[in-house]
Parts: sequence; structure tokens; C-alpha cells
Amino acid sequence: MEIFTENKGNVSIVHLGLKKEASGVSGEVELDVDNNYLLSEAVENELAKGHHHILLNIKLVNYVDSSGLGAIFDGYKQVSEKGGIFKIACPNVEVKRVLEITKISKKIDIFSTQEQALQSF
Amino acid sequence: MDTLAKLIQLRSQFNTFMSEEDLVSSALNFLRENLVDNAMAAFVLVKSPKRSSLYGYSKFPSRSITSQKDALIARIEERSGLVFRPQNFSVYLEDIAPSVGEDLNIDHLVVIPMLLEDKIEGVLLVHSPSMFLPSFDFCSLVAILFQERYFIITHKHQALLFKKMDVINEARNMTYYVVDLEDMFSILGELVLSHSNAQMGFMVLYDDVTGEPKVRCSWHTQLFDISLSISEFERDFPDNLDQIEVDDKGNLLSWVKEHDGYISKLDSVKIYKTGDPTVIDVLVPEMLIIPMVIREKTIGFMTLIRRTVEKEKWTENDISILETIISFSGASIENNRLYEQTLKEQITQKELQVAHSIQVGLQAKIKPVLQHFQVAATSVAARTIGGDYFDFFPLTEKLLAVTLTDIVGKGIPAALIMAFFKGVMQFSVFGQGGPDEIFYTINDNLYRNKSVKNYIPSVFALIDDETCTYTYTNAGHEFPLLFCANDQSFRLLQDAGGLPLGAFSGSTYDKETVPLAMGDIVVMFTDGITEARDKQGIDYGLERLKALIRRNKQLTAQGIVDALQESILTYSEGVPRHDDFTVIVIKRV
Repeated sequence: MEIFTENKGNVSIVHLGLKKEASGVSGEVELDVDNNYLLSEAVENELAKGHHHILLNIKLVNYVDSSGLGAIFDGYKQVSEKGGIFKIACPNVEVKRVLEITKISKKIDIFSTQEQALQSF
Repeated sequence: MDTLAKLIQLRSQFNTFMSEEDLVSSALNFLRENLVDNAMAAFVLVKSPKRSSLYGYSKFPSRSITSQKDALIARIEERSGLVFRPQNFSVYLEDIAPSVGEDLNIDHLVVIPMLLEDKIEGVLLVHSPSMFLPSFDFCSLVAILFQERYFIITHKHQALLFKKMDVINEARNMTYYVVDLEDMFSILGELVLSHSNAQMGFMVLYDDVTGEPKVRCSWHTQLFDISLSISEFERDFPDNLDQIEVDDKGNLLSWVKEHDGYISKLDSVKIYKTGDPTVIDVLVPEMLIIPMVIREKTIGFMTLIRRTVEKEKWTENDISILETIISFSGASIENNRLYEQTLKEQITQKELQVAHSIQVGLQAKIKPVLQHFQVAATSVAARTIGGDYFDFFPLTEKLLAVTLTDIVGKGIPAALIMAFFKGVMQFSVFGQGGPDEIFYTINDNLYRNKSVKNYIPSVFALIDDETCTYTYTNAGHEFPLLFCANDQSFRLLQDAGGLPLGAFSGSTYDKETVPLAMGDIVVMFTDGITEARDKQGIDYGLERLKALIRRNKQLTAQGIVDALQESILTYSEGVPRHDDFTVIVIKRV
């Protein structure tokens, strides 16, 4: 799974499954037991750089397993501990269902577009 | 008789001889009869690395051989392009008639070297007292016929073959009997340096992952000659190997990597001072690079370096033997790698077996027996150890606690968390309170225990045999599915619950009590059921689950569990399962 991070204002946007902004190189990805550590690493990197507000864009993610959810939870907790805000943008229908079942949506704000999410910070 | 017929006759004559003396004598006789202008022949035959014998007709001007030895040797070396080492001659002359006293005139000498695998084994010398030299072609033909028989009689071919086989055998033994790779490299070094007459050498292996060349071992024979000022290259060898810059090739290791798979023989190699590509540090007379190929893949290469100028260059034959030795050591390296891999896999397999038995021991042991309910369950792991955990706790005769939990992750870490979770569960369920209070306690307990980093989605229910109710709470787990026999409808039990266990401090949970009528069925399942995929990558999904329950509603709880398990396995046949699946069926009877 590719991860691409960009900064807009004081928010770091972490794109899962995207190689580069506007590179057109992308594909549907699964956030699962084999690659969830990549998400944790990306969040840690941003926090280490002093970027405390993180928006996770999961537009290209078509499946999240329980360890992937763990990584999302983990990211949320790490950001919160630093006093930052962690939000999620663009989940597809299936992933949104999983986020609701696991009650992640109770803790983390989820937006259907990136623009809406950015405005909310 | 024409010349050709004479030569054919000579050949059959040669074939009858079994001794060197008879052969030489016959050849000299033939030449005396057939050479014109009193030309005289002699054979120089190599006896040992330092010594050779000259067999001649007595008229051959052998007396002046000693005084003109250097000029003669120079002529032999010039004619053959090879080194002639055995420079001490023993002279044997046929005929006792005294020599006519002629001096050897190098310019009147036809020199025909007889070679075996790039080494001079003999020389036919034909001396003419006049200015007219005998036919070179004719002499060459005689020399060829002579050497053909000579090599057979003296077993020179055989000896060479044995020598080759000795070296190859040594290499074979090295790979068969030397278990430790470091020992193998050290033996290999001795073998290749001595065989190739080189003083330095090293082996490079390409990294499995990055493909970058890495120096694996090196050999260096110290020259104890204090008059030789030592070059920077030699002084820092082998630590400097990845920085060696060679004339017009740049970095040596990178250059070799680009010429992947080829044998390279480099002469007069200029090596520059490290970090300064303008100053030549040393001129290496010869460098030989031989790739190491395993199953058509180049895994590295060996480089041999001669620091001093040798007259005898590396021959095709030398290189082919070195190639064989290297392929042996390559096989050894590969075997070693496979051996270690197998060992590692065996250890992992062992660990998995241990963890598997722990995990199997953790799953529910009892078969719940209730008056108004049938309860059945099954769990199938995607890997040797799964992350699903289910358990039954008979709190009283009439009250059964049921939990289904999906531990995040797989393998040994999941098994350890499962063990810990089971402990916490056992400790908590027997306290007073409903599922909501129990989960509040468990969440707090898990959250405070920082060793468990994971969050745990879990569903928990109390089955009351007296009131015939199902009271549940849910910590971020898949919703249980309720089938109502009365109107054949389904309902997802999603109204009560809270956040996954252990994720946040102070999480609260609510509960819901559902009365169950005759024939009602509650199915608790992990996402491995609904997310089981077929070959097209399509999920099994909730609708298929509902249809299966509707079809099998008449069966016992165990019957429904079996039907579902079979359905999932058939559906995802030929597709590697990426998640465990677990199901608990509770049927009101």
C-alpha cells in the first residue's frame, strides 16, 4: 500500500493508496494485517514533525480489517494525546459501515469529502 | 614414396612404441633420412617444472646449447607465446660419432613447440648448417605425430586430467563436508589463490533484497618483501573494496554488477587513490572476475588479483577450473541459505504449534445445556492461530454468559492477548451486574493495562433460561443477527453497545434485552463469515447468511452451525482465507 502525505494549512492529509499528488498512480487498497503499520508510521512521522492535526483520506480503501481499525484507533489516540485533532475523509459505503459497527464514528469525525473535512478543523 | 605416404607410415610405426626412448629414436631416425641439406633434429622434452632433456642426433650442435641457452629459450618463448621454465637441460645424443663441431646458429633453427593445454611439454628443434631451412610444415607434421604418441606414452593427458580432478575434488569436499560457511570461505580462498597463482582475492554477494553488491569474504597473501612499498589499495584491503575506482570503469563493484554474468579478464588495471580519481595508487598486472551463478541467477562474483607480473597468464583451462570451483562454492552458499531458512521455518512452525495448543485450550470447553435453548458454536482459523475467541460461562443453572471476541491481529501476539482477555473475562463475569456493567469493568481493566495495546471488539450476552430472554451489549463488534420465527423476519441487534474494549478510558455501554419465542434464532458471528470471499472477490455477505438461516431454520443449533460452516468453506474454496471465522447459534426450543 502506498501512502502520500501533504500539508494544507495546519492539517496534514494522509492519503492511503496514493503514491503522489495528481500522479494518477493509484489503486484500490486494503488496510489490513499486512500493511496497517504503514499508517501508524505515517502518523508518527507527522507528529514527530510537529504536525498535530491529521486528516486521514481513505477514498481508495475498499476494505479494512480489525487490525486496520486498530491502526486507525491508534492514530486517533496518538494525535489526541498530543492535543491534536484526527479526522477521517471519504470512506466508501462498506468501510463506513465497519467504522459505524466498531463505533469509531462515535469518537472520530467522518466526512464524505476532503473539503468538508478541512473546513471543519 | 611421397611425403604424405611416409608420414602415414610413420604414424603407424609410432603407434607400436611403448617407451619414450623408442619413440624419440624412431622420430630422429625418420627426420635424418628425410631432411635435406644435412639438417639435424633434436627433441627437448620437459621432465619436471625445472628440468628438461634434449635428445638429439650426435651431429646436432648440442655443445653450444649451454652458451646460447638464453637465446634458445627466448626463441622458444617467442614461437609459442608461452613461458618456458625447465631451463636445465640434460643432453642425450644418439650415435657415438663425434659432432662435427658446428656451432648452433639460432637463425638456422626451426623451433616447433609441442603444447598441452597452454603449457610447453616439448620442442622440436631442427638445425640447418646452411642458409636453407627445412620445410616448416613438414617438421610441424612430424612434431604433431610425435606429440600425439608422446602424450599417450607419458600419460601427460591423464596427469593433467587427474590434476584437474584433484582440484575439483577438493572443491567438492569443501562444499560437502564443511558445514560452517566461514570455514568454507577460508578453504575456498586457499584453493583459488594457490590454483590461480594470485595473491589477493575477494568474493562479493548481491543482497537478497536490494541487489547491492556486498563483499562477503576476502583473501590476502602477504608478500614479505620490505623493499616493496605497499600500496594504499593493499594497505586498506579489504575495507576499501566498495570504493575502488578503476580506470575508465569507475567503481569496480558497480562496474562488475553492470556486466552481470560475464567473466572479465583485465590486464594492467589502474587503481586510483581512494577519494582522488586523478592519482594512480597502484597498477595491478592482472585481475580476473568470475561470476557466481545459481540456477541461472547471478548471486555474486569472485575477483582474483595478481600483484606481480607473471609470465604465465591465466589460460582458458585455469579459468574453467576456477569457474567449477566457484560454482561449487555457490551451491554451498545456496544450500546454507536454504538450510537456515528451513531451520527458521521449523522454529516458527514449532512456535505456532505451541501457540495453537494454547489457543485451542482457551476456547470454550463446555457444551452449554439449557432447558429452553440449544447453543452451538464453531471457530475456523485462517492461520495456525486465529484471533477469534468465544467462550461460555454458566453463571447459574439458569443463566449462561456468552462472549464472542475478535482479537486484533493473528498468530502468537493474538494468542497471548486472548489468554490475557480470557483471564479478565473470567474474573469479571462472575461479579454482579448486567452485560453493560461487566463491559464497563473490563474496559477499564484493559485500558489501565498498558501492555495490551490492542483494542478488542467483543459482544457479550446473557441467556436467561427462566425468562427466555437474550440480553446483550456490544463493544464495536459485528452486530448479532436475530431471526424471528413468527414472521420469518431478521433484525440486526445494533441498538445497544459502546466502543471497543480497551480503546478509551471510561467508555460506557448500554444493553438490550430481547425476549425469544419458540424457533427464534440468534446468530453471533465474526466478520470472517460475512467477509469470506469467493474467487471473484465477492463477499459472502449478510444476505447469504440470512438465506442460509431461513433455509435451515428447522435444524438444531448444531445443524445450523454445520450448514453455515460448510456453506462458507464451499463458497470460498480455492481462495486463501484472510480472516478467521467464528459463529455461535442460539436457538429457542
